[in-house]
Amino acid sequence: MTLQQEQQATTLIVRAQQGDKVAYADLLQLLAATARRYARNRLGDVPWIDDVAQETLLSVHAARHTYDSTRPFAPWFYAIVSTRMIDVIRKERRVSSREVGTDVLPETGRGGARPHEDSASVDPRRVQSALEALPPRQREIVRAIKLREEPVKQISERLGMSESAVKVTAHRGYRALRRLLGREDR
Amino acid sequence: MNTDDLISELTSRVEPVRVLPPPATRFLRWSALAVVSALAAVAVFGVRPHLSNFLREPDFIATALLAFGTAALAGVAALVLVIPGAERSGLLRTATATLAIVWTIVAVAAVIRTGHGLSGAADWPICFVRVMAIAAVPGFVLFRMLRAAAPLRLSWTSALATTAPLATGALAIQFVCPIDNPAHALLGHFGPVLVLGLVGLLMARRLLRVAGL
Repeated sequence: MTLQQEQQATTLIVRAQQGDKVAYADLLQLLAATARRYARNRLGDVPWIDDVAQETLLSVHAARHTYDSTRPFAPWFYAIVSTRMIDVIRKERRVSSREVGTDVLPETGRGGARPHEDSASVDPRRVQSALEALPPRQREIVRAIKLREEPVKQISERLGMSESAVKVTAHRGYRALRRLLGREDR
Repeated sequence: MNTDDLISELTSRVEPVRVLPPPATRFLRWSALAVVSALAAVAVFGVRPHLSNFLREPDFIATALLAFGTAALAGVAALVLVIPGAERSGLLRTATATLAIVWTIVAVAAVIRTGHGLSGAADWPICFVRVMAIAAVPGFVLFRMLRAAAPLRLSWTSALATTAPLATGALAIQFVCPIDNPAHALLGHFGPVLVLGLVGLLMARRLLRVAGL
């Protein structure tokens, strides 16, 4: 954040604290861009730069009454953005340690069996009944991802869940299926 | 939701807000309440016999100063920590932790010096409960003050916010409790600060999590 931007942000947040919607919109635009730049400088081009920006804006909104205009704006803002960035990194690490990428090739069978040999060894009716045994939400998400090849984003919007929650539920569903089909060793 | 939609959403919700007073002002308000609570406790439970004699004893004075210092520093540090960017360095937190450690060492050393361990401790649960009772109102108010700001570093803030009122309680109980046994003081006076400080640390998210932060 340049000195000029800091002065601009100070003016805008003081007006926003008085309820000025236009000033607030300008402030949030400025802060979103600054948060993205800050995160990109530290993390590189990761896909969740926007998450950092959005989490920062939510925190700025919740904390806007704590800004004292007699103090510099930058330390106040960077304290928020750095905390939110750490939170997002932790969340992403947690999710990626549990999720199963849907863009990787399916596992081949034991001892290097080819995919068609592996699938031939599983009775489709057993798969179907194992699928039926899953809890409704897990079943729906596994079907959507694996059978209908629906994008995770679309599923998350349809079911009103976050994308991370969809991935975690799908992962649990795959694990439950493996257990039901007696293939936990894979 | 993309960022532009979020900005529109937040902008539509913006209303005038009352800017929070500086941490120093808020600390003065809180410490006034803590002093009133401590004095009320002394008035309700009664001053210990021969207090004037103890006021000249180095051990009594050292413990009182450690409790006072820990309470004051923990209160200031917690209130500073909930204002984003207000903490210039970790000095306040370090000083609070150092005082609490020194207090622990002094309390444990006193028990070791007697050579009886904790076996001589009697009636300490009464003081344990009294310390919690003295700390209840200042603790509740302090947590409300912290939640009204922007707690970002939850664990530190919660540990400090639990320590401050309990140290106030431990200070007040010194002027009330007639038992001089160091084991009693360790368990009944200092015990609540240590135990509930840890509870505060572990329950930080539950105690201080504010929507949007």
